[in-house]
Amino acid sequence: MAQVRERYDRLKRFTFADFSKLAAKRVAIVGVGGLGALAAEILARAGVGRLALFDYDTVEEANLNRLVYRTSQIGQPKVKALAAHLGDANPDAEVVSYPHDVTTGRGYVGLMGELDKCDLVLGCVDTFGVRLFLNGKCVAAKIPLIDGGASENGINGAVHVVIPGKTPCYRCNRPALKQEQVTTDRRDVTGVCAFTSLPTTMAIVASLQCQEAFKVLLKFGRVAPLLLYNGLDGTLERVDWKRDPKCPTCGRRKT
Amino acid sequence: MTPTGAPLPRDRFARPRKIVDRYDTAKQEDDLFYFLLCGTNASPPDEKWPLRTLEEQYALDRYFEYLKYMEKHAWIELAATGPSATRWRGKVRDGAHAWDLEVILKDAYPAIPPACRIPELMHYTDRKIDDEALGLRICDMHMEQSYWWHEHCSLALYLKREVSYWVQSVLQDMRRKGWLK
Ligand SMILES: [Zn+2]
Repeated sequence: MAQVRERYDRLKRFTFADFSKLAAKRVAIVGVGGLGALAAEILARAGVGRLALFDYDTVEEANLNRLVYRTSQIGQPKVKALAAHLGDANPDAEVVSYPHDVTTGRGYVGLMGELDKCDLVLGCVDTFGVRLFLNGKCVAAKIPLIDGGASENGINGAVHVVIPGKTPCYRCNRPALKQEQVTTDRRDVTGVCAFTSLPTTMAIVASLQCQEAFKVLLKFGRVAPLLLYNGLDGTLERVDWKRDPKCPTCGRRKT
Repeated sequence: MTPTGAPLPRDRFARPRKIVDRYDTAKQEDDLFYFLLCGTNASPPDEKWPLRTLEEQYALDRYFEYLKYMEKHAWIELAATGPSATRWRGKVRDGAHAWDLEVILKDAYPAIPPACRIPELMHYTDRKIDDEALGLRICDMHMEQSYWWHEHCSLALYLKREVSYWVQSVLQDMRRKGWLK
């Protein structure tokens, strides 16, 4: 089995951290769409010991412009399709899949269970409410959360690293952060509400999330509390913002 | 005593709160509806949920009273289907028309807003998302820019600030296209 021993050969040459420590780490990934599926693949291949995947969606044709999912997997739950893929990509990684909504019922119970034992949560969801919910739960459980997102037009991205007690949480300074205006006038009678999703932006944001995840898990480098990627200008900006002491989620005064 | 009649929790560190006259700082009409806020931050799986449901019901009653006596147009009615108060059913009215309304408070509520659905109207708009528990429902993805929801907001406030605008804009659109007389 020489092949398997050489799987991490290129990672062993990395001088800033010891990647073999990843085998003992457990990561929960909430949402395995354009971002989550890519991030899961990177983490699994790098040798993260255990991945818990949450998503209630099934693979649709519209997902196939991005990476990972295959045409033959249309109709399967995303987490199942991804677990099959990851099992083949790196059999060392233990993959647990929850084909449920994390905000209610079995998904909620599953997430609460995973929060007790995981080292990091990767937030790859598309609704603001669920982001705030994850943020609140991670801050309460004192587990780092790395939230990734792309703008509605698909060209810009942002990565928030929430280390409870250290970096600002997702709720901190919220009104200060202005993004582009939302258009709500496209109301023809087709399909559901969906935003543009550009494979390149998604891959960039997912990679940035994983980079920060490695830095948090293996304790090297300087973690960036907020990274803003602008695809039109080709810039990546690091924002060192401060925690809000009056933040309703992570501030000193508990509500 | 709280409005629901439950005793206030005793807090060793409780200090007198600074009283703010909301009429001075109110920037928009919605700020005047602070009486639709709930005091308890509890989710359905939590111990304190029964207290929260009392507050939700209180806020809802005040909102319906407001609609009936101030706006003179009770366009909505809603009632819990069971004692757990996580599922609600009701009607939305517009002139001679009436549509069923269905609301679910998920386990993550009130960290996330309620999930709301008006089955017969869902086909006439694309401002909807596919929900595991509820099927097609009103989309709140667009709430991000002006995200006002927080843990102390009530179901009543959600009806006032989200559902009413959604219904109005969808009905207006349907009239313009001639789908609704
Ligand atoms: Zn905060």
